[in-house]
Amino acid sequence: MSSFLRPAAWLLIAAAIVAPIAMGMNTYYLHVLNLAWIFAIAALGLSVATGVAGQIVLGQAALVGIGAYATALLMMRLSLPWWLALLLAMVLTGAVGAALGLISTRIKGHYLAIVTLALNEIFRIVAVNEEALTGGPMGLRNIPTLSIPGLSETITQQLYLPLAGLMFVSYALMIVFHRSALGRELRAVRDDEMAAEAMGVNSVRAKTIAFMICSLWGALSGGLYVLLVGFVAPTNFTIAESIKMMLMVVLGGLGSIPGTMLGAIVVTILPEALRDLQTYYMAAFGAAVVIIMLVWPKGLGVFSDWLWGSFLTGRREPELSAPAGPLSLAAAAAAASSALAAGPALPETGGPLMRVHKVSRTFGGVRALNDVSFDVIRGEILGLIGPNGSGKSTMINACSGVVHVDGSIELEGHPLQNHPAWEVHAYGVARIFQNVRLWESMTVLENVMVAWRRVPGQPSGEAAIREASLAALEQMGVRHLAMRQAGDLSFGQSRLVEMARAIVGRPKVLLLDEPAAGLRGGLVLELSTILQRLRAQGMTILVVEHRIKLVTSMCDRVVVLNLGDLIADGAPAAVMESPAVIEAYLGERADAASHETRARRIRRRSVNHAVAPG
Amino acid sequence: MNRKTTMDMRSLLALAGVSAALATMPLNGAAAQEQPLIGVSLPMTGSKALVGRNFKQGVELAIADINAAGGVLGKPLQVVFEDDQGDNTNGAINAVNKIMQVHKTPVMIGPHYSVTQMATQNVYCNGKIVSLTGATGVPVTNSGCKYVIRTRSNDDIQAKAIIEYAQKELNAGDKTAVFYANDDFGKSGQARVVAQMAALGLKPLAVESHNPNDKDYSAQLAKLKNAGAVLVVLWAHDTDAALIVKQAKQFGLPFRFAGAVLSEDAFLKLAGSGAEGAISASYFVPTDPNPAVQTFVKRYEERFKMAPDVWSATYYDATVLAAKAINAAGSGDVAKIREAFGSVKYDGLLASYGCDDKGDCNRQVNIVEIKGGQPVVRAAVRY
Repeated sequence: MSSFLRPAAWLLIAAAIVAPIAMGMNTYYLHVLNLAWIFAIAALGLSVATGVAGQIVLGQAALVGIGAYATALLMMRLSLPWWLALLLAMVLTGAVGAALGLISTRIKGHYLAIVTLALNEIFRIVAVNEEALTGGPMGLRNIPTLSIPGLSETITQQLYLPLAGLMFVSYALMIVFHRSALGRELRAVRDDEMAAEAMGVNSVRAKTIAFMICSLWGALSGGLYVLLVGFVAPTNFTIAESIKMMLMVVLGGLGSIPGTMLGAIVVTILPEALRDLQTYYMAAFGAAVVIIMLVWPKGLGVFSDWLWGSFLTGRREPELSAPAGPLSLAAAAAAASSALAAGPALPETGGPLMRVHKVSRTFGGVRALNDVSFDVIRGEILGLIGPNGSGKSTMINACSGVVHVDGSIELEGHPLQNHPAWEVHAYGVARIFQNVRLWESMTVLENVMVAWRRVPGQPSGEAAIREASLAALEQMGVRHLAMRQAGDLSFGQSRLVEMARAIVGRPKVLLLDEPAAGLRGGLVLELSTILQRLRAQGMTILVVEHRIKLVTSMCDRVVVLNLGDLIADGAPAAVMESPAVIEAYLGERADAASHETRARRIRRRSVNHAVAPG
Repeated sequence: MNRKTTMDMRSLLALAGVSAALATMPLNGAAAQEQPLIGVSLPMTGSKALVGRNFKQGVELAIADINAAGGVLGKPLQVVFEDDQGDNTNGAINAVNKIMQVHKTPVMIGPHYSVTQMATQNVYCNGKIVSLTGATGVPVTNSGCKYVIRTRSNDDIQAKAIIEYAQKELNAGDKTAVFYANDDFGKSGQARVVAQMAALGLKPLAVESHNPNDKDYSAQLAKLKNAGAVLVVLWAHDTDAALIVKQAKQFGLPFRFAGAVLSEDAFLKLAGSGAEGAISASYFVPTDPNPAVQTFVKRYEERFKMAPDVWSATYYDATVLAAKAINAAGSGDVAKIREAFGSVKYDGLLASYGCDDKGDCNRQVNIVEIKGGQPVVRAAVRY
């Protein structure tokens, strides 16, 4: 049914777009439609910055205005041809967008929204006061308009089809962008910036690109407005216009690019269609907006996303049936153990891969890490244990570049400390978080694809990334979830997807912050098998774990932290017997009971920890 | 599968809804039965909606009067109103387009604001419609557009009238200072005042500015006093201007104020006794003893239960003037109507109208002084 509905809908839309000009509809209606196409392009930029990258921009009208004034002035003062003026205006506005992007790395969230609002006001004041350049409050008039004589008699008619076509092309471009690697990165930054950085997304670059795209489409829209109307004034680009563009994006469903197009069309055309209600038409428009948001809480995007179909989402994996067992880890573990048996011998365990040297970190007055030094030997599974508040998570955060520390952390001689998390990831350090941090609006497959890392000698390109990501999911036994939205998964499933996300880039070091938390007891040992297999593939693993049973069964070596100090380092069994460790866990002197009982109590105690992880 | 099907049905419904909405657009236009002669582009929504109401009531009263006197071209005059959202250029372009393309009237009243005039002249100056406006920006009739008729004197005349009155009647030409709001309204007013003074060989003793919505003006007032000003030309918004004259009175400062808004209702109410003696160049005050004005005020109050303001009077006059021109032209032909404006004379509320080639029909402002809390017309200045 849907196979016939979608082309039919497109035919209807094509007819609806061509009909006004073919029927010779008068230029008032055509002008309103032209404005709709132009505003749709401006809102497209906003849709990428706010909807896709999560950066709230309340000053899009200013960016449109800069594009409009620049196009006009370049044509009027320098007599440039329209296309060159438009292009230069886009470059100029893109530079403003890049500056905004750099600001956005310092100022975030609502504060950034206020900054963009201020940009809008600054633009208005400059445009009003720099009369010699901008024409002041009366604006610039008699700007050369773009006339395509072959098409029809008036400019409104001539530009109608080109503008509509340009709008569709720009939306198609952005829809392709949305599912490209860069688009995925932008969405990852929107959903969880910290996780994105830790998984290799350069958030500074991503945001700068988002703002540049936002301003480029803004400038194009402003330039087209000038070419159509031949007039600009500061009142074209007020904050109210910025809010109107934001309304287009929200009405179209925040995050849905095709929805924005429909949002822009509704916001531009509906008030005009309601004009005959005279004084109350804007109130009726407001009521219509409320009704749309009530009927379609996700905006008009639901419908438009359906229209674009697989062009929007990309090729979908055929859904595999879920293997038996709730998490199918058993199957993966079985595969892993057979692979272990058949696979290559364990890599040479040898010299240190990662060296942690005199690392300290304080939070206010609390010393979370105090001159901690240890080595991670190539090819080992190293356990990092300690009571609550001993600095384990801080250590993992330091090694993955999420927190800054004093001291040094080196990977194969490269210093890692205080480098941005994405650089640390590029060196080959991947991690999972204690509380799962997936990018919830993205599919499971996209989640994994974002974290892919270029490894010399390995194939790259979209198809290779996709293959590698599916393989990683398979390895964790969750390939059948690939097309599910990450936010819909259970905790256990999310944990496994996060594992897949961590290993897809074939990291040299895998940092696992309590990987067993949230897994059912029976699955815990299967996890251990999987870690063995990852080690066999050449990964070195640093794992924070509460469950001594798991630690003793899977770790080659253990380091123990207590209140930020390293108190033991050695084979699991030996460490469990260390008086300092026993005291840290039980808070009593080492000679108070026999070693045997104390070791048992530690195990029990650590299980209690695991019940309430923290 | 089931879920998918319902989704498709929904989408189909939505699509049907959208196409229905699109399809109704042209139908609305076709529904209008008889061709009105005048389209009115005025603010009905947005921040200027309140002044737009006075605008509309002025037009409505004029239509009643015109129709009582026999209508236009032998038929009762019909007009259509379209919202231009005040100084919103896109709103104005849409309203003007609709009036021209859908209603196809030969005459249009509005848009009112200078910036919306400048934005829409590209659209309407093609010989298809004549626009009557009260916009006072100097460029409105200097842009080469042949189809604009302006019914109020421009901003330069307002500034010139104040300065000449200050020099001739108050002998304060060389003891005048300027105090303005630092925004587009105040800045352009200030520039025109200084330019008009320069034309008479005068220079302001001091030029001070304030930010709109400031609350304390003592620093600037002290500077104006120290400069020895006798008259301060005040180009500020009505609420700010009221605070300024009040504070000047509290400090017992020796100078008088003159400006653009110092006879408006909001200013008078807020300034109270501080307004006493303030001078302004204004187009219309309801206290004007001119019998035509008094009759208008009385009938307006009877009909709308409120006092008329400058907007009501301006567009009452514009509507009457338009009706006279259409009658003089004898048809709805745009070129003939435009030509007729050159010969039509009308003694209106704001002035005695007579249009020149550029379309300026009014070169008059009233010098108004506040006496006993009421604006009193001191002189009518004509150029």
